[in-house]
Amino acid sequence: MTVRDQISELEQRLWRLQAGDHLCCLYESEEEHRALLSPFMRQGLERHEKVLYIVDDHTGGQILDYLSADGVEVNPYLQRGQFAVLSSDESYMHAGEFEPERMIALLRSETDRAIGEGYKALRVTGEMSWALKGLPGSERIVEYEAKLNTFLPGSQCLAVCQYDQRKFDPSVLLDILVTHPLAVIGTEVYDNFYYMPPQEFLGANSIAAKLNSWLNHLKERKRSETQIRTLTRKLMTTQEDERRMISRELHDRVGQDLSGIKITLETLFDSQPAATPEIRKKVTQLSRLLDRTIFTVRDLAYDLRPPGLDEMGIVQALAMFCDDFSEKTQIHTEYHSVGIEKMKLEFNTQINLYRMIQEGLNNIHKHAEATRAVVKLTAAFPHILLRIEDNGKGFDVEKRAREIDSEKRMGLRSLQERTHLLSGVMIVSSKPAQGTKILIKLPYAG
Amino acid sequence: MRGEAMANKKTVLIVDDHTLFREGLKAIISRNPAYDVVGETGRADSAIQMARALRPDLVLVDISLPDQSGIELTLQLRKSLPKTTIMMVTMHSKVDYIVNAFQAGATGFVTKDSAPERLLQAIDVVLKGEYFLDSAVSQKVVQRLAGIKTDHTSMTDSGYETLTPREQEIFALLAEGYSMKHIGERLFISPKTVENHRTSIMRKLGVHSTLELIRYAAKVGIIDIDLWKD
Repeated sequence: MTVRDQISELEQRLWRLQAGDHLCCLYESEEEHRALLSPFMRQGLERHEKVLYIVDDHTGGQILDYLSADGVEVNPYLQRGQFAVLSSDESYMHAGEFEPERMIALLRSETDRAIGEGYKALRVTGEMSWALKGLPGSERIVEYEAKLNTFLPGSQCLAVCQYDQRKFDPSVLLDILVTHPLAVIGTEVYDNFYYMPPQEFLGANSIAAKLNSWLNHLKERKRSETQIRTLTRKLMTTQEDERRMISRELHDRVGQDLSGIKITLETLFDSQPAATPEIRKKVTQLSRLLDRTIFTVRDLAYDLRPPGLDEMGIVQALAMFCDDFSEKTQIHTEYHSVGIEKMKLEFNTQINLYRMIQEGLNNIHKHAEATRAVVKLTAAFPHILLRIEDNGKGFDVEKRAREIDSEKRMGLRSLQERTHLLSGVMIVSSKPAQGTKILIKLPYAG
Repeated sequence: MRGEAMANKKTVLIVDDHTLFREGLKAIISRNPAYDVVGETGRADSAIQMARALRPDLVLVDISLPDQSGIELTLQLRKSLPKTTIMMVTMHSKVDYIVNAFQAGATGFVTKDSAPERLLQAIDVVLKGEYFLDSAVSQKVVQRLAGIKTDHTSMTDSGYETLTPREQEIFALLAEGYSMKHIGERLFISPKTVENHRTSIMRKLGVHSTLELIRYAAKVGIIDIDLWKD
């Protein structure tokens, strides 16, 4: 995903913000700051909300420049009073000392005023760096953030509190994270599961509440993982079913029809002895084209649905696949299988093993520059071991692992995913110029 | 005269649910005056009835039929008409169907995209009582059958196949270098029992030392002895 995509995704997410939302923004660069704040303000103005920006780290001029650079004509908004830039002295430190209740009362009255003026909401954002200056009351900033959560929900106000991650102490930021239901980190908006409601965060048993909420997150995470796994399994089964259906249609229907056409062409002149050489030539050409088409359709059908898997089981089907693979790619592929045939594997396991070997060998074909490959499928109770090895150019395993995370390498990733689905482990060993060995160990209860 | 000529003709029944293909097949067969297509059908059930009534010399069978597979039909025809020759004419070109077809009693196998001359040649061959296998597939079949002898069955029919799950488990642990005491603790059995298993494993695998045992484990893929060392 490009930076531009990320930003446009961020804008779409921001568009779903509504009155009552409370976000913190943890940023580490000016780009990140601008990427959030510029659309945040712009969207507010477009939606006919009143927008208040409280500066501290930046100047009012810089903020206006954000909007101008985005193509927003700022002056009419300023003149009309729909948009205002305030300093922290005019807001948080209004009374010379920061007091959460007073600031919240100010927000409430400003919200009422904005609604009275006919705006749809009050959209506020503040640069919180003023709190780093040791001003009186600034230590109550976390308390303020927590209490905002009693005011904002249900109000006509929404707020983004800005924290420069480079300047604030992590222990403060940790509390900031816990007091905002939504968090923008970099250019991503997160539904913040670390959030604690004010009565819990400010209550006497806040540590116990935190522990409780963390434990719940763990459970929830586990549940989500299980759900994803179930869904992925279902997805793969559906995919296989669909492939089987398409394969069968291609082979039995399209293929049969093509053969019908071909044999008709071949015998066309049996009853037409007067046909001209030109016509005969044309028909011969057509017939040749049909040969190619039939071949392609059959190949495609076999690719979609491993031939023989249903009838003969995985050991034979894989032997055929490895033969075909050797022939097609000129990579000499050995295949050994021990103890698998008598295991009576479920079809689902068989098709997954087959696909893993297919993916593993296709990876070798695409990337490894290998001349030899070995596939070993071994029953070793209580496991099934699958080894896929090649003598190709190899790679730096750690570096590749990082690339997998950034979605550059789908081949290994999908192997990893299938392994995970079958509750197995995958170990990849490789070094540049020394080939690659993949070991996949799957549990098998027998 | 005419009746005699007819009597010398070899009769053919075509079983294929694709009308256009049947037409083509008939046209090709009629190129050889020695053959006579006496019936055609698109279903397996009527194929049985027609074969019983017509007693053809040859039945050409497609593998994909609407009511049952051509392989099953072949089995049934074989049973009720042991003298009739059966040849598969099919889209399928993969080894499994070929082996199945021959096991069911067919003596010929051609793919539907074969050239007309090839089809006629195939009919000649099977009617002589010989086997015919399409050249588009025959190489694969031979390779596969040869492959079964050399490549992977050398492993499949080895002693490892006779190990029980428990023995497989102990074999893997032994190969990974665990002591019999450790294995016993891990599997909740006595070291003596582990020792008995070990003896049985070594006998079944035909190995006589720990070194041979490890080598065997590496060969079948249970352990990998030349992993990269950092």
